[in-house]
Amino acid sequence: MRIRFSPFYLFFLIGILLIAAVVLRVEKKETEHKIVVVIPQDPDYLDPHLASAAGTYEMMFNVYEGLLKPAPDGTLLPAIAERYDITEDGRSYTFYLRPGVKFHNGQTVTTADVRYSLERLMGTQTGQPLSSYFTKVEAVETPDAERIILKLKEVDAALLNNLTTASIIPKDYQELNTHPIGTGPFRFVEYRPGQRVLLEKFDDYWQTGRPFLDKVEFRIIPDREAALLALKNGTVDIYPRIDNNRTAELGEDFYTLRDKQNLVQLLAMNLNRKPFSDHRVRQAVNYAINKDELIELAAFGYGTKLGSGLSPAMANYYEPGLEDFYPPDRAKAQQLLAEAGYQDGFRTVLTVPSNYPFHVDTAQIIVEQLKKVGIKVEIELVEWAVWLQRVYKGRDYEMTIIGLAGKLDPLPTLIRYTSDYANNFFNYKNTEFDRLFQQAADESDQEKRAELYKKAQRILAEDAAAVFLMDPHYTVALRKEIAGYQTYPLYIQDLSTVYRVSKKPR
Amino acid sequence: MRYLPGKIFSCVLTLWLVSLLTFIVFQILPGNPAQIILGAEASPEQVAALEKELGLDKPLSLRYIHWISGVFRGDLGNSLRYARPVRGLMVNSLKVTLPVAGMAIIFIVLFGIPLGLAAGKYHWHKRGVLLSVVTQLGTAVPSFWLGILMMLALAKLFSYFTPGTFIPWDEDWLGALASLIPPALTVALPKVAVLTRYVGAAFVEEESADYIRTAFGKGLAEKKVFSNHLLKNILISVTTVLGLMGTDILGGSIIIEKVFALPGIGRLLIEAISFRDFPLIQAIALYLSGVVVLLNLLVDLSYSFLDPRIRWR
Repeated sequence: MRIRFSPFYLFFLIGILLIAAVVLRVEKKETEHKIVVVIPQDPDYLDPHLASAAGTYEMMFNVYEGLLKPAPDGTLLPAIAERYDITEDGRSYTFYLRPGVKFHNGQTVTTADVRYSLERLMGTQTGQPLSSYFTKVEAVETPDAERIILKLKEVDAALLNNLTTASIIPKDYQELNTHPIGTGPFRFVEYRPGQRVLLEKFDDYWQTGRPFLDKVEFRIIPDREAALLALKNGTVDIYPRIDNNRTAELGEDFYTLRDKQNLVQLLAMNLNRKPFSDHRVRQAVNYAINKDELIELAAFGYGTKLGSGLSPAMANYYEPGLEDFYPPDRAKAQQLLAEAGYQDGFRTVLTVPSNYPFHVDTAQIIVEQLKKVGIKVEIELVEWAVWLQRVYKGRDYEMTIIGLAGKLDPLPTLIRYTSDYANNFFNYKNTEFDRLFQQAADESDQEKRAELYKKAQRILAEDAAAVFLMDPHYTVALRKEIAGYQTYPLYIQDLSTVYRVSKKPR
Repeated sequence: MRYLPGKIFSCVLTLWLVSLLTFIVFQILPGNPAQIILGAEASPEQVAALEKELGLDKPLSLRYIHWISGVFRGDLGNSLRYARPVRGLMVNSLKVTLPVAGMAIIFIVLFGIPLGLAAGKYHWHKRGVLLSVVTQLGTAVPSFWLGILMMLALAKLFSYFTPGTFIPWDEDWLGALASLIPPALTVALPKVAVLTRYVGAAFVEEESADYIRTAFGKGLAEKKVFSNHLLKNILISVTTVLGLMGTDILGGSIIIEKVFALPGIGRLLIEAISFRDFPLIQAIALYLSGVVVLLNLLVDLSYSFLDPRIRWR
């Protein structure tokens, strides 16, 4: 008897497997009012006072709230505090607690919780501050069940904005990192590392009628290609920060929203290194770079030109006109280089973190642009960890490209250029800038403050502290069925207003 | 039975050496976990606080001693990146990697051995040549490309599979299983090709051996010759190959897990390395070397079952 090895048996088996697989995955009818948002990375900490990654804040914004909350236009909304008063001298802030705000564990928020939260950030008990935003706060007082008074050592105009990030947590609650409890529209259900963060509607949310969704899932998919496929195939409903060149292939079932994202993408030059210590060389580099072309090629036209360390997304503080301070001018660049003694150009290295494909693309175009004025740039790709250690902390680099995320207030962004700031990796030093910055920080009048910041920005531009490239637009792709999404000038996914058209309540 | 204790001792020694090596390499690697976790937006105060919290202010050698003494107590420590026990993270990732690996191995054996026997049997036929071409192709195809292709095909044609759809086991185990079949197939296919070629070659070689001629000579039926003599001899070399493949597959494929967006051990490893998460890296290195050592041990042991000439001494 012969043994027969029929190839048919194999195809049969493969067929069975495929069919079984299809059958196994019977389409489950979604009955819940749920939305899945794709995000590229795990959160760093669920404890809001320990977390600092923008990617964490954008999720947990739905879970935690501060005394105040940012609005989509960048202004402030009262949240846990119903209203507030500031004394004439700007040294004392009184917040009035909104009555009946509940934590996700059912407890009502008290002034003691607020005080605990703020003091935890300030490190009052531990001596170890968890945030540098509240160094000017001398004491938090809670005279009664309604008022929280912040006494300041000196005027701090950034305080109100900074309070939006000071999440209020239950007093003495120790399990924030595993079971977060806040007051936001959604409450935390679970976090599975590498898989997802699941939130559900908080029924006792103080803002009645919100949120609309029953459940929100943040699905963690690091690979951009996989994320795009997941969106197309219906696994995912919202894809924030989709690549601008990929939106065209989405088709009719999707729409996109775009906005400035308050990110300053810049080309930093190490001011402690030759030839960048020469301010003419930095200006030459500025003249050599064509930002419009850069936006066209690297961001597919979706970007806003910059001229200083702030994005125009911060409309109140941005000094307009600076974006054209150095119009592309090759002759001028070459002339400046010659004046500085580099008539034949020079060689340099541009260090770029390899985990940001956008910065890598930008770098390649910059290399070409600088080549035309005789500056020969070699790109060096480094791992993010190495970039942080060597470039950011060690300041051991010649040129680098990075995006610095803006906050509601210009202070945390512009402090990076002050002479003695620990993370001033530009090695930028200008006493006039320092003076203006300090003056602005001590100014309580918002208009005067804005003026000072504008002056400071002009100095940054004149000194060519860096080449301020662009604020690449934030593009979010959504399924047609989804409405109510709002863009912020911050790194935020606000899902409290989002709903599926088919399930819109009322 | 002196064989086994000696083997086990050398296994433990190997594991320890691997952990020591990981530790030494780690010392050279630049990067501060606290800074990486918090990123460029963090204030220096936050980084300092986190360093203290994570115990990064202590020297690495101390942290290594602390870690290794923990291992002997069955405690793998806490991950720096995820701020939770390493053991739980490993278990969660293995819940993805092990089923994929298990299914892949089943596919490999199920397809590779029969196909290989067919390849051997029809070595001189047209069918054999065709198989040889196909398997040659199979071994040459890069797995990431195969994975993307597989995903596109499944997604487009059957709208059956989408990446990132891995459903936790406790929620829908059928769904979880179904979502792991495509990656398992992707892992298996190139290896099926390899095994097919391997078994085919072994078949051809053994077929012309003297004992086969003797078996036929004494009048045994073809079926008996194959199943009693030939298959047994082929199995020894197949076991060796399978052992090697097993170590490869159980380690979790970084590329396949990336393409299919699976939260498996390969992805955990990438994350651990990019965050300089020392306890997590050590634990994964321990697991990976453990798999290699254990599988080699199993292969060694299985020889003595498959080949009566080899006995433990």
